[in-house]
Amino acid sequence: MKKGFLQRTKKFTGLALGLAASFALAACGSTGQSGTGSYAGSSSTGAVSTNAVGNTGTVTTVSEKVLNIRIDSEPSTLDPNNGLTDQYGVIYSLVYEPLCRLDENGEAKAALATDWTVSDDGLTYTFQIRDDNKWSNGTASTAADFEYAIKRIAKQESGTNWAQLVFDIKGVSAAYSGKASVDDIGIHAEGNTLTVELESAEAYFPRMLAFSPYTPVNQEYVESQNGAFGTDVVIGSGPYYVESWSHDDVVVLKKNPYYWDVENTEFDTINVYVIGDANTATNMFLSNELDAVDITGTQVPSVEAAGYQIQAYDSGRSVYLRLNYKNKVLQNEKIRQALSSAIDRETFANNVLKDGSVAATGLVTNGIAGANGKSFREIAGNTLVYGYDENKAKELFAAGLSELGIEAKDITLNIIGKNTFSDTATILAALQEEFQNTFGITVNVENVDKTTYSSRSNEGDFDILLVAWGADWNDATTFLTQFDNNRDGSKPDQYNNDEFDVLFDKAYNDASADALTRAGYLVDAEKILLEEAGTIPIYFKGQYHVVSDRIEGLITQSVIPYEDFTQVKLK
Amino acid sequence: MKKYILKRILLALVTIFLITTLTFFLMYALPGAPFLGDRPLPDNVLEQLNRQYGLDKPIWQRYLLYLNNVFHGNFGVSTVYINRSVTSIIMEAFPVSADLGIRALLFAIAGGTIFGTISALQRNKLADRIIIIMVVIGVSVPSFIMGTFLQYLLGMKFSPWFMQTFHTDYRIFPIARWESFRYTIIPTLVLGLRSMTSITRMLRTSLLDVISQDYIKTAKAKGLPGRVIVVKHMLKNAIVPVYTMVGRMVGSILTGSFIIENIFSIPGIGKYFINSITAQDYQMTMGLTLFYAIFVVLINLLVDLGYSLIDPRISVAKEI
Repeated sequence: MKKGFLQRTKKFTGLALGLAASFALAACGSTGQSGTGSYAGSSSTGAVSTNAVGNTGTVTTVSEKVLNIRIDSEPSTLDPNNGLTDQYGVIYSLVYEPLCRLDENGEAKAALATDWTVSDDGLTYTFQIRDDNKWSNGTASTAADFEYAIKRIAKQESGTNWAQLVFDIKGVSAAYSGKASVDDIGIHAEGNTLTVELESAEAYFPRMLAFSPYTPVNQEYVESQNGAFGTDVVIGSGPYYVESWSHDDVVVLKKNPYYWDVENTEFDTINVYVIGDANTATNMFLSNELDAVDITGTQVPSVEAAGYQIQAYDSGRSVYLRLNYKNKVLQNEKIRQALSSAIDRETFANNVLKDGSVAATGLVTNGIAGANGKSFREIAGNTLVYGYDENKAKELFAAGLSELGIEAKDITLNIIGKNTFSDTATILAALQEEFQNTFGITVNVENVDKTTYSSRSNEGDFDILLVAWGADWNDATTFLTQFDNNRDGSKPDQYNNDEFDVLFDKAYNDASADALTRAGYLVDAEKILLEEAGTIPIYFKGQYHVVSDRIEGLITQSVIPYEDFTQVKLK
Repeated sequence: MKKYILKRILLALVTIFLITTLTFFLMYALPGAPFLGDRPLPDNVLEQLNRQYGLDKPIWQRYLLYLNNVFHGNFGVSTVYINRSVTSIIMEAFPVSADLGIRALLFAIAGGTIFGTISALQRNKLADRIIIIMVVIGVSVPSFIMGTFLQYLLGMKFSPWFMQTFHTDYRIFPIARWESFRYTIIPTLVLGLRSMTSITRMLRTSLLDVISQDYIKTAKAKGLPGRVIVVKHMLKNAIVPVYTMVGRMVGSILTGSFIIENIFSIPGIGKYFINSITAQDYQMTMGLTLFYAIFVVLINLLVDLGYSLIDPRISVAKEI
C-alpha cells in the first residue's frame, strides 16, 4: 500500500512539473507581447545598437557610423541654459554650438564665433559669428540666439541653478533680481557681430563661453515648445541633434546636416546610454557595447587583462579641507600648518586610491589652463608649502599649543565628509588616524548625506569640512574664488586675508596685465593662502578611462563635459 | 458584497490621506533643501528657485495647496527633472517595472509551485534536500550579488563563448538594458528568485500539513488517481497561505527594485523611490508615495476579494 502510493506520487511529480512548465511558458508568451508595447519607443534604438555591435565586431560592413557612449544619470533636462550640468554635459557639447570650445590645452578656440577682440579696459568683447551655421531644423544659428539665451535666464524663464554663472555679463544680475530691465543687459547682436560687456575684466571669458549656461538657443524653437523645452527631443546647432530620448535609457543623437563643419562630423548616430552602475558600464565596454567608459581603480585589473590601455586625466576636482575660522584652535596658524604637514598625500593618492589621483601640489588642479599654452600648475609649481613632514608637523603643533596655552588632549576636531563622494570614507579614516597618531588629539569623523552636509556647511556647523570641489570654468579663479571676500561677500567661518583679496581683485580688474602677469596674481594669491594654511589641499582627483580600439581623437578636459567627442573619428 | 467594497474603498481613502499627510510633513522635516549643492547659491537665485517651486510659502499653505492639487489630479513637477511632471515620469517608468515584475512573479509562482510540490511529495528524499539547499541560497544571497554574478556568468562568459562557438553575432544574454525578450531573462530570474524560494518553502509546509489530513487518506482509500489527489485535494487546499503571500509580493515586486534596475540599467520606477528622497525632490517623493499607497491598497483589496474565489469557505464580506 505504502509503496504503491509513493510510486504514484512520483508520477504526480512529473505531472506537476509539466503543468507548471506549460503555465510558465504561456505566461511568458502573453507578457512578452504586452511587454513590447510598453517599450516600443526604444525599439528603433534597439535596432541601431545591434547595428553598432555588429560594427565593432565585423567592421565596415555596415555603412552607418555609430558611436556608443555612456552617461551615468538621466539628464535633468536638455535645455542647456537650465541643466544641473553634470556628466551629461557631454550631450550639450555634441548638440549645441557654443561661441567657443576648449582645445586640448583648455584654451578657447573658435566655434560659433570665428574670431573675437577685447577692448583695452578688458570689459567689452566683440565676437564675429559665423554665417554658415544652421540649426538642425534649417533655421539660421545667429548672434541673436546668444542674446536670447542670456536674457531668458535673466528673465527667469529658465529656472537655472547656474544663473549666477552668467552674472559676469553686465546687467544680468540686476535684471535677474528685478532691479533693472533686461534691455540694460550688455549684449548687442547686430548681424554677425556680437558685443558683450562684462561686469569686470574677466580674462577667461572666452573659456567661460564653453560652459553650457552660455549656450545660444533658438528663440522660435524654445517658444514653440510651450515651456517644455528640454524635456524631450531638441534641435541642435552643433554637430548633432537629439532624435529620440527614451527616458532613463538612451538619448539618440543624429548628424546635423546643416552644421558648419558637417564634413568633419564623423558619426551618423551617437547613442548616449544612461548606465547608472559603473560595473555594468565596464562590462558593456568589454562586450563592445560601449566605445568609451570611465573606470574606477578597482576595475583596472580586469580591463587591463582584456588588453586595453588605461589612461588617466585630471577631472578638475581638488580635494581639500575647509577650515572653520570660528574654531579657536584652527584660528592658530601653526596648528593649521601642522595639520597640513601631517598628511601623507603621496601614499594616499598612489597606494590607497590608485585611481589616477595625484598628491596635491597646490589648490588648483593640474588640468587648469594658465597662460600662453602653459597650465596654471606649470607656471605656479609646487605652492604647497606645508607638505608631508611628520617631524615638522609635530614641532609646529607643539608651538601652536604653547601659543594657545592648551594641551593636545584638550583638542577635539570634527571632520565632516559627504557620502555621495566615493572617496570620503577612505580619506576620513586616513585623516583621523594621521591626526590622532601624530598629535594625540581626538578626531571625530562623520560621513553624512548630501543634504546634511550642505546645510551644516552653510551654517558653519563643523570644524573641518572635507571638500571635493569641481572646476566650473577653466581658470584658477574657479577654485580660488571661494577664499576671496570682495566678490563673493565675506563668510564669517572662512578664510579672510586682505592681501589675497587685493591680488584676486587684480586678476579681475587689471586689464592692462598680460596673460602671464594675470596668472602671476593668482599664483601669488594661492601661495599666500597656502603659506598660512588657510586651506589644506590633499589631492587632485584623477579619472581613469578607457577608449575602444576603433576610435581616436577624444579630448579630455578638467571641466564639463570632461570628455569631448566632437573630434572623435573611427580609425 | 457591494457594501463591503464600498467600506473598503472609504477605508482606503482614509489610509491614503493619512499617508499623504504623514509623508508630507516628515519629508519637510528632513534637514536640507532641494537646491543646496556644493556651491552656496546667491540669495536672489535661491529666492527665485524657491518661489518657482512654491517653497517660499509657509508649510501649512504648501500642504493645503498640495492637497488641492492632488484633488485635481496634479502631482506637481519634479525639481530634478526640470519641467517634467511627476505623473509623466511615473507613467513612463512604472510600465517597465510592472512588466519586469509580472515576469518575475510568474516565474516565481511557476517555479515555486513545481519545487514546492516536488519537495513536499519527496519529503526528506534527495530531491527535497536539493530543493531545500536551493531555497536557502535563494533566500540568503542578496539580489545585488546574484545580479552581478549572473551578469558576469551569463553575460560576460557564456554569451561570448556562444557567439564564438556558433560563429554568430547574436548575444543571448546582453549585459544590461531593456529592449527585447533576451534582455529580460537575467533580471527576471534575479528579481523572481527570492519570491520563488519563499513560495517553495511556504507551499512545502502547507502541503505537508494537508498531506496528513484525513480527507487525503480518504481520497487515497477511494482509489482516486494520484494526480487528482495532488491537484484537486492537496494543492487546492494548500494554496490559501501561498495566495496570501503572493498577494503581499505583488505590491513590492511590481513597483521595481532599485538594485536590479541599477545593475541592469532598466528604466523602471524603483530607483526613483530612493533618488527622489536623497535629492529632496519633494513633489516626486510625494507623488511616488501616493502612487505606491494607492497601488498597494488596491492590490490588497483585490487580493482580499480573490479569497472567496480560491476558497469559498472564506467570506471576506462577513469579516468586517
